[in-house]
Amino acid sequence: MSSPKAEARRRPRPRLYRLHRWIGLVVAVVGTLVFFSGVLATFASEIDAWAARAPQYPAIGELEGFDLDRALAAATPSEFEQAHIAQDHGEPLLAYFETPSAVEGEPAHARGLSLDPETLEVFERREGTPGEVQAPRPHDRLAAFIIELHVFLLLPRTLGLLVTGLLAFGLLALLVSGVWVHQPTAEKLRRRPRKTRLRVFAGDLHTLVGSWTLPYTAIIALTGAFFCFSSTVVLPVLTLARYGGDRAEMLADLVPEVPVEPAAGPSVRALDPMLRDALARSEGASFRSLSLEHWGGEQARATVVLERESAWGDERLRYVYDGHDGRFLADKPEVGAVPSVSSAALELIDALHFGTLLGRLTQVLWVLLGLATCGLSMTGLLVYARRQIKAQSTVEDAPRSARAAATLAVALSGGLVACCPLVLASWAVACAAQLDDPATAMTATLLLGLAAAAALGWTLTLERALALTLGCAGLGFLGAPALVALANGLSLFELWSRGPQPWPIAGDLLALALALGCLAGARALLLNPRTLP
Amino acid sequence: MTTTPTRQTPTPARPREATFAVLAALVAALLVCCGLSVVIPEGRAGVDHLLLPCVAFPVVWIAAALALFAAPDRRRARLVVTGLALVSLAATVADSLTAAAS
Repeated sequence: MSSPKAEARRRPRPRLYRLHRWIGLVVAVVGTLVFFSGVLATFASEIDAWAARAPQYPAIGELEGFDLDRALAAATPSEFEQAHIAQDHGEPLLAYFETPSAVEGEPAHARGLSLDPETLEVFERREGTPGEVQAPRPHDRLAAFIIELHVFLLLPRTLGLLVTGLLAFGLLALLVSGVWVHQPTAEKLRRRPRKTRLRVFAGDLHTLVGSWTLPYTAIIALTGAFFCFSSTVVLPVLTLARYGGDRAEMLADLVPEVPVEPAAGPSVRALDPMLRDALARSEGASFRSLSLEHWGGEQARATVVLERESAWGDERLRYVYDGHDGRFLADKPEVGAVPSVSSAALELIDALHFGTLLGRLTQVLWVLLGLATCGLSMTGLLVYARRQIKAQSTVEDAPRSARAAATLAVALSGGLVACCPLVLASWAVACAAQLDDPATAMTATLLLGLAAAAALGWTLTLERALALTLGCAGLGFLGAPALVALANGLSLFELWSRGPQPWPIAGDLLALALALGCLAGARALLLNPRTLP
Repeated sequence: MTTTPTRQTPTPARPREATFAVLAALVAALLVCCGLSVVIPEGRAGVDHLLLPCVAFPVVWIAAALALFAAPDRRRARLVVTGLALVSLAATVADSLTAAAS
């Protein structure tokens, strides 16, 4: 017969409680950065539109008499192997051409152009290696920084994906262990947090918010783990098992190229008829890109990508044309040769992770639920800190670990919010100083901001540290429009007349609202000691 | 002599056990995904056998890890997870041999 001690060790609930606590600590510290940047990334293009205040350009499909060949006539090199012509919502028309070097081992020569689709004026021209030409402009770095923080945690690509994948896996483990440990019931879903002591209040809030956000967290964790692990772990293992490690063969199955009959002779010069044909086939879709591959070679092909709204967010259409005579070849899905269960599953996963399922409505809902999930880190850390203090008589190092947990709670709540205007400031200064790559300055500012918030959390009481960080955040948001003006070299009076409406006005008003909210929170924490129980 | 009733605190699970459960579950999940890629038909587009195991991987991994770490009967859980992994391995090897022979 087994002893009571052995029996206790076998019980799932205490084991899962311990697992929940330790994984929660790790996910709270590192994961909050990923979750918070994910919340911001939901509106990355709108943040870019607000910050960069770039002029708006009409879509080429809406321009009467627009001719792609005439637009590119002066810019197209006489010989090239690859080209990519693209236009995003309200952006200028971008053209990129790549010509392989005649000398073996030397990088290809690339040419990039930005032009106004209406006047056909070329206002930016870049020449150099593909890396130099494709490097993002400093003004476009803000959204790219948020996305890189969310996807790669600013680490090298594969390592970053593995780390964020492990965080998604940790979130899944937290979710399952949390359900087992807290056992959400209908009563718990209705219960208001009790304002008796901070530990009880934070614990009740943690259970309440965690229970209501369960479906959202499950969706984000599962789809996030899929995005991170499919290309870094599962597909390489399947390639090894099914294709003997031959990656090219696996890719030929996964994203097969539409076969083109090999033909000699030059590639077709007129691109506009292919664009017109694709727009006519797609019934109301907008042009996104035209890619030319193996141009001038036997396998020359062109792919036109268009985008249109569908029930699951934006749908991408890909039409492939023969590069020798411009003949339509096939309508190609994202994966596989024809539409399948997998391509439908991928579209659904995309829509679920990015919140585009029902358009703006689900995007806003995703942002609110994402912020609530970030708040779980803070309440979890506070519960841990208070439990450590309670166990002070039995655990010798309780005060220090409790203080560390409270410090992290401050850094990852008020500190993280205060880092937003700080990072915006470093981006604005880098743009004003015309630095090529503001990402290093932005990363350093983020780390310094978090460290400063942690230092405040370590030295001050919880209320004072939170009040100070929120106060700093409030002042920072108040100055956000001025930072945008600095980055773009505009006066404050010009701010609302530039950029794609309504984002300049909406973004500035949101910054003002955030500033007032943060300052009100800081004031309440400083003046009313009973704000936190 | 009287004894004061004390609240029994659960004996903590060792971190080593959690690490073992996660790593063993990872190996098992990868093997199960290889097995799934053999079992799932390729579909019209010829990619279902590659992508659906990728979709299933996080679910299989977390289920295996929790079974190995916190199932009430962990011996049975170990048997089930190991059995599934071995069956998947056998299916993958058999498929590879058949493909090599043909």
